[in-house]
Amino acid sequence: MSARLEVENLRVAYGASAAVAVDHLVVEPGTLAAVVGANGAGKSTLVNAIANWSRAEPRIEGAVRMDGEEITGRPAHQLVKRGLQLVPEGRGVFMGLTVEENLRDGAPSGADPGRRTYSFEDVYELFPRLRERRTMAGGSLSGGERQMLAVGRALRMAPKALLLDEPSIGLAPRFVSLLLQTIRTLVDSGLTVLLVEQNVRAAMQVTDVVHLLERGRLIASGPVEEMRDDPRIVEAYLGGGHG
Amino acid sequence: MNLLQQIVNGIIIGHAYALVAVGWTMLLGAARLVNFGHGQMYMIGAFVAWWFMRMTGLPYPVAVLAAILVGALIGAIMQRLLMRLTLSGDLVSLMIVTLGFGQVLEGAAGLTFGARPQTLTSPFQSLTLHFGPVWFTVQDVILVVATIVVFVALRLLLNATKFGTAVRMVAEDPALTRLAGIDIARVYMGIFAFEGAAVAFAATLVAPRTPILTSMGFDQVVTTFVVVVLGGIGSVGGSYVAGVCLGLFTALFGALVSPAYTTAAMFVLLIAVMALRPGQLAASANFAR
Amino acid sequence: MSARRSLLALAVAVVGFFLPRLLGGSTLVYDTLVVIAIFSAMSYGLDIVLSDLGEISLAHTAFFATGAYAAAILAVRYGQNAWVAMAGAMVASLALALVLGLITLRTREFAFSLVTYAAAIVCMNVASNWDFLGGSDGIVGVPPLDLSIGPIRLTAGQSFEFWPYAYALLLLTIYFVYRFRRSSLGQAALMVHMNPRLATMCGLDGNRVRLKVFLVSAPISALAGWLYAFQRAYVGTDLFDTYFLVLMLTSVIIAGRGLLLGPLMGTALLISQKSFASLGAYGDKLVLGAVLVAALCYSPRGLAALWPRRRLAGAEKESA
Repeated sequence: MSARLEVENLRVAYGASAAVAVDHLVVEPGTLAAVVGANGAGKSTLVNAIANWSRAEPRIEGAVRMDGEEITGRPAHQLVKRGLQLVPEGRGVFMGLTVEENLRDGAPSGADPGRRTYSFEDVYELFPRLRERRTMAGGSLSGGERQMLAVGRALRMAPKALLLDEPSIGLAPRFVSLLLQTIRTLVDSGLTVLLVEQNVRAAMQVTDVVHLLERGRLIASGPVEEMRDDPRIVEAYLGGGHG
Repeated sequence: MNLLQQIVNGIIIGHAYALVAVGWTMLLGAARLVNFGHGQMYMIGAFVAWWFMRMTGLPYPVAVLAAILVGALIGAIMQRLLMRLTLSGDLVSLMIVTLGFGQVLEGAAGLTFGARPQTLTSPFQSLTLHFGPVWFTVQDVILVVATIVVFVALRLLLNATKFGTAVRMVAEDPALTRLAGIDIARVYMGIFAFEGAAVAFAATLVAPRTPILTSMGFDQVVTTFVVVVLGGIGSVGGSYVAGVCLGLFTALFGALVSPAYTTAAMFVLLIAVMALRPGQLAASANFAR
Repeated sequence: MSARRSLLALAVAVVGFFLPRLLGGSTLVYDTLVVIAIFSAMSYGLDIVLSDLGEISLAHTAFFATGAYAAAILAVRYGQNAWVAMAGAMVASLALALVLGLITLRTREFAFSLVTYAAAIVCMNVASNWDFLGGSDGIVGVPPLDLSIGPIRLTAGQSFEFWPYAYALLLLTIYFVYRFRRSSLGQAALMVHMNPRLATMCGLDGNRVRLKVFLVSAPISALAGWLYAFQRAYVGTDLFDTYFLVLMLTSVIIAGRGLLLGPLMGTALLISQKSFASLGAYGDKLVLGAVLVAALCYSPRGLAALWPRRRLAGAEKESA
């Protein structure tokens, strides 16, 4: 129910400018990996490319694999059905739909056995605030609630691997830790998560592995205990901090 | 002038306007696309029904069905053609392509159906009903009832079905809809097919009233545009109300001032609304309400 | 433009004048080339709005028709000469453009296109019903063109006689567009098109620029209409037909937006098909529509973009 994600020789470009050039990155099943780096380092581009989703038109070269199977170039909606979920940066919910309607699409029955399905109840358990706001439109929720809803939506699709792009942006600090703790809980139940975060400090409290991205390149990777003292991380922490 | 009769006429014409406009409303609201071929698609709907009746001798209701199917097919073809362009996101080119598509339809219709005026005969057109000072035909009743049914059904579809939710998602944010695991090409296909089917259906119900020509359809574009703008872009309920109101306006204007310049009068009305409420042209947040 | 380029352009212009004779000099050739010249001029009006301002105006058929109707009314009903008719055509189209321009001042993109389209339809509606404009019969009996000034006789009644005037109109139009693109208004239009916010910060009022460009574009198409009225000796509601609209759009787009000779080449291609390989009125419509659709679906940047190396006038707008 958790997948292994692998990226090899990934090159992503917008128009003429190269945005990401990552030779090798692996997320082991059931772990939480954080990608950190300064603004514009290419973190969003990286996770968007893995999910083959974008609001722009990037050119993607290289290989992305899930559980050994190559998924590069497959349409995003098909990847979703295979268990790869992305919670994008910024708008991740439908403002015009109610909370319930946002959560309505569940994973198709007959998905791979062993994929943990999350029912409405499961999502409401994780995020009780959403239960209270069931019939409210997405647009009338607060920023934190929208993020919860976005994650809830992703969970409803029974993901094997979850990509989160800056879930803490614009959130009050207690929301941030609540959200990240919830994600940690999901990982502990076996979900594979790749987390992009500018809030390095918060990320390092929950993550297993840290990857440091700078100008589209992976310049450091390692278990969180080692990376904590890495001077480059400290630099990123000082440079990044809160969005 | 029989005021009551004019009001009845207005309500009937208004429902016609609303039905002709409903497919366009959906297309504009959900796919952000202006279909300049709308008038020609209307024309084709009428002519397919006429031709079908002539060729097969089958009755009017069957011809209506045939026209709806052909309309849906034309809509689907349009969607396939435009798919390539939607990917590059050039909205301007998309519009012009529909214009070219309309020309193709007009040319093809002229070649297939000829340039002479024809009449689409419906058995209900000649059945008149009298209620005191007013009269109308059974065709009119069918038109009004059908319009109401279509609008109610559409409202239900959009708000209570999975596909309807998908349409609303695509209308708001196509990219995000893909992340919800939905194949948006299929959703667009449905929307386009609906536009084709709806406008063809409207044509078969309205066209029996007057002779049909392969050069017709332009007035329908203007009335549709006015209805959609007045009703709020993408607003299903708004289109219905706007259609009926516009029908009343047309009937009264035609009776009190001049029947020939109703299109011009509608346009002036549109300009007035746009001048008073410039936000009217923005995509409505009340999509599908 | 360099001296060498100017000389080359001049040479081409001179050769162009003899083109009908080079192609055989038959009535069909003359008629076709006259029509190409007139319709190209009509298309240039749309061109500056579309390529430079970046908006799809669908009202230029109305400007074209306005020019033709004004010319016909002045010549037939009021017995005025061709010069007065010309002035009338331009004034009438300016008036219409002013009204439309003010109406669409704050509209953009699809709203702008829709309103201009609806306006053209309404104009057609009015022209078919108003007796003053001839109603559905139109106005017949436009006299031969007579631009004589004093002792210099400048008339045209037959097709080959129209050629010099049509050609002159075409050259003037092309030259005008060329100068326009280098004028401050032309540059302003581009800036407003490319980056409206930046343009505002440079002190340009987007709405005024749009209005001005719109006003400049209308008489161009109207002049074409003026000449067409004399050439055909008849004006009617068929001038409002979407065929002309699609023709204009296709000719502007097919070669590539912003190319100086683009509309001319596009029009020449399409009218030649209609003249020499016509499939009947409806067949031609179908072909025209199909060409437009194909051009946009398979080569949205115009056929010129398929050329590996382009060194054409106006290519600086390629990135549009």
